[in-house]
Amino acid sequence: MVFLTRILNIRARGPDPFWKRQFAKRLTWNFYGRRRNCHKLSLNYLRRALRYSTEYRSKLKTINMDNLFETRIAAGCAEHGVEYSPFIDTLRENNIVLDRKVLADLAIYEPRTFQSLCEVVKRSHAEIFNNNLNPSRRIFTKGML
Amino acid sequence: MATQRVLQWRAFARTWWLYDAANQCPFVSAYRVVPYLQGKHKPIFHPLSDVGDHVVVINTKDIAMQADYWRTFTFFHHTGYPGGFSKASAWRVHEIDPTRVMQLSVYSRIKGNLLRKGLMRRLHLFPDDKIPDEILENVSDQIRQVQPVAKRLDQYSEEEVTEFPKFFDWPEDFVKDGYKRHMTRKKPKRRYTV
Amino acid sequence: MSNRAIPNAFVKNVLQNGLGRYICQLQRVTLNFCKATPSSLGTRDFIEKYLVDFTRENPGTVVYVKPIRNRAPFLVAEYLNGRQERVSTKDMPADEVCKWLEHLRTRSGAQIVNLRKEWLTNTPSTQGVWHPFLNKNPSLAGTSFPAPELYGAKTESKSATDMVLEEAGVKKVGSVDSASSKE
Repeated sequence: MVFLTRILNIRARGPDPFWKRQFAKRLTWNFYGRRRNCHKLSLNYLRRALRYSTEYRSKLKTINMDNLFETRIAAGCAEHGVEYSPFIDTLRENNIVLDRKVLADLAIYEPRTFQSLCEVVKRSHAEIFNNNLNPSRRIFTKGML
Repeated sequence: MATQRVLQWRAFARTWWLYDAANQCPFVSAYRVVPYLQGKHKPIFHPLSDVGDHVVVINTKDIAMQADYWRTFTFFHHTGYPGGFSKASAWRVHEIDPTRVMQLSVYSRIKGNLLRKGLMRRLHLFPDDKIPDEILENVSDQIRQVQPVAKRLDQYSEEEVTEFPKFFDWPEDFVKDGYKRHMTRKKPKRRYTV
Repeated sequence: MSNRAIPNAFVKNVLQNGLGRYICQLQRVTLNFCKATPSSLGTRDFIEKYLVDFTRENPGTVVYVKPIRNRAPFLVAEYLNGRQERVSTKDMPADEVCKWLEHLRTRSGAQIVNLRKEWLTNTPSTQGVWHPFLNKNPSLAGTSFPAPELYGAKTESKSATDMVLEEAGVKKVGSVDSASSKE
């Protein structure tokens, strides 16, 4: 706009505050009660919600996912008669560098690979403790050669 | 794709497990049974997806409690109304309903969220080993017990008992303990209404 | 904040575009600009220098040039799936307008949202997805339940009875595992 007079220039105050409220509403539409409908009430809850979501992304999500991976790997191990913590420790000792996310994915999507990992662990245990956990004959390790 | 749909059914198929509670501690058994109800024994476990299995528990009338828990362990209940509190010791609860102790111990083991009722619905309790055929035909595997069951004296044959090695004889002046516990049964004040 | 508030989706492509022949999803683009104001200077330059080349290279895209008075310039792109995208070109030099137009041209027209997963595959598994019957012993199919020999608790340590018998040098009388729980 071309403002020919000073009065018109003062009147031009930028966009309608409606749009600012709409922006907040994009995040608060699913809140409960008046904090959903009243803009002024919703602002404090919005601030808090954003803070919570930051906290979740940085800390809690990692913890939740770690617990989930742990449960899944433990379930996969239990089917082959191996416990979770010896499984993870033995893989690390044998320089099989797979993180828990990948191991959990293997347990679901590539179950035969996971089974052979369990057999590696069993073989390793048989060598260390000299007890036979019925490891498969398909696995060969350095100690056997 | 049609095959994908069938693979989905197979992956999420519910299986039925059998658990024999005879001579097993109900509280330790609950630790063993609950992961099967929640589906934590499957690699596809996710808290939001419903992958739990059915568990059929038999012989709940023969559960065993450690020490004198039958007498001292107490189950509580409150209806939510004033004066709605009631409690009963384990033997009393077991007397009223032989499946109730097992049910309550599993129930208290599960976290108190919205899933608990649904999980409990998949727990089938039977006081003895008589299971309806429509339930038994679903069972495809068994859950391992938590405690080894020792052989009772009356389960040994006479020959085995007489041949059992004897290391020493009691001295003649040895007084065997004839103590018997005299339990005074108090009449419960309120009727147990769990 | 619950995740529902912010739209999210999986990675997707429009009808597997480009697997066979590629179809430009941008169907129509409108260049809105002012003939007078300096904020539209770059957009006007773009129209003078590059627009004809753009239309020659993209015969499948309709280009509208629309003068608007005393307003900030913007591009409106319309896609094959019916969605519109709007980009403000206020105070942009001609090169930058060029880049934005190229961005609009190469887009699929799908809405840009948070991705739940950054990858997508039609074959998640080569060995077959895990299922409850995968690692089961096949002999279970022929077993009638309850089968007491299957579910006895595993004992690694010896019982007192075993130790006594071992001390006496007698053979095992009754093993713990074989003891049936029922009469």
